Amino acid sequence: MVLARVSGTVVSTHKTEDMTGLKLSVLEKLNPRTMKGTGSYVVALDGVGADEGEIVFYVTGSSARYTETSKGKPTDATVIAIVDSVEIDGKTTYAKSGEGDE
Amino acid sequence: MTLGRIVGTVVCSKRADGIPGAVWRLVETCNHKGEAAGDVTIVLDLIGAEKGDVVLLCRGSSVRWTDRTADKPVDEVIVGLVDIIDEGGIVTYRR
Repeated sequence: MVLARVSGTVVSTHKTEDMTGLKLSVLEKLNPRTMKGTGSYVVALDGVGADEGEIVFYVTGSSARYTETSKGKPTDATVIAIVDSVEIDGKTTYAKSGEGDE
Repeated sequence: MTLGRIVGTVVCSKRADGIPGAVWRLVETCNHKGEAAGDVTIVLDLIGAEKGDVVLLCRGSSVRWTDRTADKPVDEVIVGLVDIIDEGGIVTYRR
């Protein structure tokens, strides 16, 4: 799985029927040590309802088809989690603000 | 399979993986001496590895061939804790 930030959305009106009603997000991959973008982007199907700016991680390959939203869909990247916190080398590099408010 | 070293943890409450009690670790790819050698990825921990441990990683669709990950959206898991690695009879890593 790969850590990323939701940087936008892709709108596509002309697509295969299987893809109808699915949300596509633009993700920028992150370095977990700095939490800075690596400049590498992917488009992933959103399986969790992540908003722009949120830190997420996504799954690639055939496994991307194994969430409730992506089952049987032609996808090779699916967001499967919204990240609350990241801890690396003993340091917390990210903690979601307002955590536990929901 | 590849080797990696546990460097951190990712906590997330809103998930779509459907795996109860899943633990997500940050793992840095390492060589057979346990030295860091590349990217940091998020992997599912099936064995309870701890920080600093060198682990055996399985990637791709093969990952779904365990009881806990069958038909789950996961592409990389920790399948083993490494105790010893040797190269030509010389131990290069010991836990």
